Amino acid sequence: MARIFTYMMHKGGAVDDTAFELAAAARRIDPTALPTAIVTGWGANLDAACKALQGSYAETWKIASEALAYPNAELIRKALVKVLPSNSIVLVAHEHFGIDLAPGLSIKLNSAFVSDVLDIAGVEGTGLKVVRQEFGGQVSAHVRCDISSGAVITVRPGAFKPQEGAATAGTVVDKSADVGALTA
Amino acid sequence: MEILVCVRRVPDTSENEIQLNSAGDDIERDDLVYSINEADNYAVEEALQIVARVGGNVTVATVGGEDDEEVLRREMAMGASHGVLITDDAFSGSDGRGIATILKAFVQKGNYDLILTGIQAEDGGAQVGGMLAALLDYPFASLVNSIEVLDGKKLKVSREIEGGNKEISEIDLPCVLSIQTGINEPRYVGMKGIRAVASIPIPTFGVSNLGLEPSAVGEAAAKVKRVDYFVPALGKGAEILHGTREENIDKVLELVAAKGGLK
Repeated sequence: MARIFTYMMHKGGAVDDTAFELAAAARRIDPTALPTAIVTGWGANLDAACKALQGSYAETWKIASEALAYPNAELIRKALVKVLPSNSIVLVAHEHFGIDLAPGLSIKLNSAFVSDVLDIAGVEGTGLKVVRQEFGGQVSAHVRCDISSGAVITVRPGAFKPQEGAATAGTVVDKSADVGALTA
Repeated sequence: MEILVCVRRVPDTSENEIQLNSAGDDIERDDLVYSINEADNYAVEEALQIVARVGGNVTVATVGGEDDEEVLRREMAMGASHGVLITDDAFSGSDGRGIATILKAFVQKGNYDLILTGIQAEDGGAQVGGMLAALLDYPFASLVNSIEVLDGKKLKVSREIEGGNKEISEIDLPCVLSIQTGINEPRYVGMKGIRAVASIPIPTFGVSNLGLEPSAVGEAAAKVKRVDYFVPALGKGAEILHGTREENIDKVLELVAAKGGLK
């Protein structure tokens, strides 16, 4: 199974509620997975967000750059492309930032893309089966996503019950040097 | 300014009760009323308003079949200068990436300053605009709810973000924007306008004149495929409070506190 990453939104050092929902979604893909959180930003707020995640994520990747003090999807996409291993599964909340970031990220990673996922039915071989709504929610659809070359998946906020892991002393890995300078 | 608007013809959810077919692998499509995807219509209106301010042309394009000419003509009746049908059997079964690949090939045949899409199709996933921008290496902004042309090279756009707030940015041209519904008030299209464009030839593009490899699009290339449709189980529904206003306020506070919402 591919390694699973969750991209974390935060504001003023407080991690978005979706952080723990994405962790739950990751475990629906692979119950044995220890997903890795990725947080981008700058300064004390970034450090506070990383600290907040340590209790729930075994590993958090920190990408610090002054250019990311305010989240810019294009710059963050460039940063993620530099650090994500090939064939990764990346989960992002389906809200304004995720809609900006995720489709283009899937192109740059050459991976599959599924948006606004409500549930995860499971994995069979290289196929991840997810549930989406269509036509204003009048019907739902099972969608098969080929994850053999990775996937970027946006997850509807509120769809998964937040999962705060048992208290762990997660580590924070600083990936900033791998990203280098970021320019538009 | 040369503006391309990518549009789609979709079942109109305000006119149809969507039902499953007997096999459960698709919706029942025989008697559906189709129309232009709502967000795409706002995108066309926005393009027309920009051209009215700064000059230029609006081209509308769709990937589909003969039936989809209907929405191209509707948008031409609104004021779009050109309509283009991108059609080929090889495109059938394309996923979002496939559609974006097809549109990229079409964009590269022209000289567009600005490409607009609707934020999301009724059966789509808010994906093609962002994918198209990444394939073209153009800047991208989604959920755009206002556009101001600063000069020939930049736009000032605002995006809808959480809490009803707006994020305002400058973005270099050429770029791709996905348009939020409500950005404007799309103009009415009357029968006279439809008749006026009814006989205008609509050029078509396919695999060969777009220079695409058939293996790069269509079902074979799709990494994402719909397996089936189903009707979601009904939830418990909302609890309706029937007391006086004061009783209901107390009950709401009690319920919120019980869920940990009040400390």
